[in-house]
Amino acid sequence: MVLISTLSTVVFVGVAVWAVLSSETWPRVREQFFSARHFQEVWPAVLSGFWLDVQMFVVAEVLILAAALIVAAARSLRGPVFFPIRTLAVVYVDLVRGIPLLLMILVLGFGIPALDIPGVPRSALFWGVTALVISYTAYTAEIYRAGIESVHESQRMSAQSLGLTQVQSLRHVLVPQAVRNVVPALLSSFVSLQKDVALVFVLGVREGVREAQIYNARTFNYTGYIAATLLFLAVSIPVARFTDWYGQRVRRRRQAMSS
Amino acid sequence: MTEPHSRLRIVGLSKTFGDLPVLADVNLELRAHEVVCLIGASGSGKSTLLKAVNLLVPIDQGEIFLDYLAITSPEVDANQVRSRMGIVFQSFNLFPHLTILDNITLAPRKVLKLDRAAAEGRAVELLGRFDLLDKVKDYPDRLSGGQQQRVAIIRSLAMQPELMLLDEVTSALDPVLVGEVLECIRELKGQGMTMLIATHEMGFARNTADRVAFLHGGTVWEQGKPQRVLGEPERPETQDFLGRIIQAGRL
Repeated sequence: MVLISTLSTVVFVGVAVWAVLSSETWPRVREQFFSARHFQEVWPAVLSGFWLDVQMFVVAEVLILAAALIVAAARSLRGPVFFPIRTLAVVYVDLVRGIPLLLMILVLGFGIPALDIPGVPRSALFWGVTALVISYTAYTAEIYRAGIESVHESQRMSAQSLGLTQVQSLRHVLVPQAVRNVVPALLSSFVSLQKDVALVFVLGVREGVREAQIYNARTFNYTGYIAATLLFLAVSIPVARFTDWYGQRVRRRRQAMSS
Repeated sequence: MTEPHSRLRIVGLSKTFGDLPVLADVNLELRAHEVVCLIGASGSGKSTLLKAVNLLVPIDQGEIFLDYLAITSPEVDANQVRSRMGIVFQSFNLFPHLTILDNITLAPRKVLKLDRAAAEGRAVELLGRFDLLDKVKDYPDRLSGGQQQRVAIIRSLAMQPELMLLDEVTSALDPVLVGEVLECIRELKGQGMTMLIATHEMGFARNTADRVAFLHGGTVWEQGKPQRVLGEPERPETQDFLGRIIQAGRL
């Protein structure tokens, strides 16, 4: 079994590599994209830019996880009293999910600083991250909501029968169970955000991709993009593997519990 | 002698789901310390009646009084009312992410605003009384069904309710585990707890209830002393229901 899969992998990769290397344009491609000299030259700038990507990711993710939870909780409140709050949450999610992320970044990042309102930040970085938070909060709220709905109705009823208010029931009974159910989905949205932070480069924010672009504009060499790609992969692949591993663990545990 | 204190009074209670009538003009009264068993076929409205009393389902018509307070009037705070009575369901519904201790102390701490030490003291005392003290740090999935159901009862008791509502609490249990839960309920009766109990356990109803009420078509068809209702039922529907129970070997 292992022998066959190893063999087939070696053959497959071998053929692919041979096809690329033997093509007529390969020497030019290698110089343009995989030049060791250019790599050395561009690496420090791309790396420091990528560090900004990581910082944006961490700040945005923390804000998203908190804001999305509030939106999801608001949406799952019941009863006529909470109608306005519920409606607000629905409108927010629908509206934001309908706007392309890139458009949101452009509109907020260029639009708001241009208005020049006193007291409002003018930094492109600030508005870029804000756009990411606004957009991802809508998607993440839907993940949380699916989690809250996956908790059996009898749990809500039990909590309420003990005299807990709706907010207390959510806080102490429904949300803790909901979060457990959706950790794999949340992790997978982490991977997606971790890459999408690079989109703020359109605002001129000097993160990893922007640094590679600047280098490319100066030298007409694309190796910087490859450097940035490697850095993004170095972070996203471990997270993706961890997500898979964790998801399987949760599934296994649930099966063990139900048997 | 003064008239005994009326703990729960249900007057003209009606409820439909869509156009399906579930409860139709239910009238029932429980005096303090009284134990009333609700019997009747599945779908006769027992479960809905209990949930209506706990304000978990809205009602269409009628009134419910808890200690002379009309709890069905709109200005009453439902959460406050619910905290004064305990309800236990067929399917236990313990909170799986909390330990037994936290399951029991959650509502006393958050609703009654007891501090942790007081809430835990009360929980430990109850667990000790019902012989579950060794489970205090366990999670619900480590317990048997009977133990989980007893914890669910303790969780309600920790709120020091004036009234307990039990909704077929032994129906989801292995037959060998039914006894320990029924024993637990008898002990509550011994302590003077007022209880309204929906049950299929006719033997239990006969020797524990002060009164049995037979629900049929969403209304109280016949009620009285258990020996009388279960032994010499007056109405043909009651006779028919009990006849089928006997056939099934449950009486």
